Amino acid sequence: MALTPDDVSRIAHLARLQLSAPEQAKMLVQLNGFFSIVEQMGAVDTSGVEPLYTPLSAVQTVELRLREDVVTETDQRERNQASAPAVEAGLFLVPRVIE
Amino acid sequence: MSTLPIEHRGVTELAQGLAAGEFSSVEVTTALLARLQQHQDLGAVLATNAEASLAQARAADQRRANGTATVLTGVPLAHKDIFATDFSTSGMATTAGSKMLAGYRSPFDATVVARLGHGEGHGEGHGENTNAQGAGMVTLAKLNCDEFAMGSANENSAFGAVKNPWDLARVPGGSSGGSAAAVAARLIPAATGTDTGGSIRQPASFCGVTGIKPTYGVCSRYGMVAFASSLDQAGPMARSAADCALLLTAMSGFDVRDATSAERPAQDFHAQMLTVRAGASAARPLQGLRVGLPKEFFPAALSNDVHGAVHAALAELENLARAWLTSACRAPNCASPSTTSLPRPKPAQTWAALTV
Repeated sequence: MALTPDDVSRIAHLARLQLSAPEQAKMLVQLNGFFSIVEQMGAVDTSGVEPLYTPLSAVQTVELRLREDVVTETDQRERNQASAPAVEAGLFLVPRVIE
Repeated sequence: MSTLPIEHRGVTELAQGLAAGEFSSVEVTTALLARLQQHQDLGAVLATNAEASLAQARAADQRRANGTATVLTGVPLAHKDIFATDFSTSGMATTAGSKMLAGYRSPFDATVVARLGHGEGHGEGHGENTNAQGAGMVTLAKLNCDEFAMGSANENSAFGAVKNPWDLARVPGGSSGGSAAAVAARLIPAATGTDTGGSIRQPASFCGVTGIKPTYGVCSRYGMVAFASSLDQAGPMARSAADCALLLTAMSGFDVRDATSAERPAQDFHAQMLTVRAGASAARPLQGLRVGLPKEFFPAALSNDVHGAVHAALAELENLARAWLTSACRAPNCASPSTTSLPRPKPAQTWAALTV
């Protein structure tokens, strides 16, 4: 599949990117280039191949590791919010994005 | 006693000098901080904090005096700014080369940063698996990189491009371009990098330094800003394989905080490197080593200088190990861009299995 210029403007709008006409044209070429790589990957026969959750399981048996369901982190709200541009009552304040 | 200037010494030489009492970590740190300041035109450095670095250097000198130093204690390094560095101890922001994170003060250290530095268990919230004593290296800077590690020329950083110190008109490669440029320019003896689809290996080759992308799972990804979690790996960049092996030994190993960290016993890569292989000799130190090479990655379109350099290295390997080049790769187009992911490989079938 190939994207159209309309797809690019829609994606740019959703991503809140302001692209000039030449930038949009360049982006269309690049995105379609990526899709052509994905198509090559799609051509590989993967029937019978189990999906990997870690690349290591390609060469050795790897057990999915689970930990005990216990609290391991202490409350660090103040440190974690120290870099936030705006905080109120322990909550992050963000600009309104949904109108 | 060597008269070599500090900046021309690699990790091994600095470690030897520190162990011999030739100079202190504070002296090395002071000298290299000045050099980092002098060469800001490269664009490799995003942050320094002399006060914090000197405090770490004093702690390293104290540790040496106490007899609890490791081989790396007091040796300076710098981190790619994709690693979280605790602001309370490093005094440096963590930005991933993005304005979105400009000035971000991390409340914790990445595992790799902690292990190379003053150890895990510092700060709050580090519960189990704490390794209180780190290697004791001194962090001198955070280094520029492509924004969120997405790039191959280090021209995509929000804080400006990095230049190749060998030729300022050329790119250093990326995304660990600041790390490669700083090591090549002798601003720092070693740096950390991260590699998803070439981000350590490619800038290392562009700048003429040594870099390793370790096997996935060898180094913890905890505190490393993610690009593609199932491919990202941290690795060392330095002037020699031996220097990289020293760093990799200190930064690797199982970490409970990374869900895909490999549960393997800790490895001493440096000691392994220095150990003579069974059946090998000084003349053929790599005898018995099996070398696999995907022939499909060497298409006719490969430029002559790259082809020549790789084949010169292969000739050297052949000389040291009596290896040779042959392979088959079952995917139809496996020489496509480096980020292509292949189905589960069966090493013996898909990659050359070369035995000496």
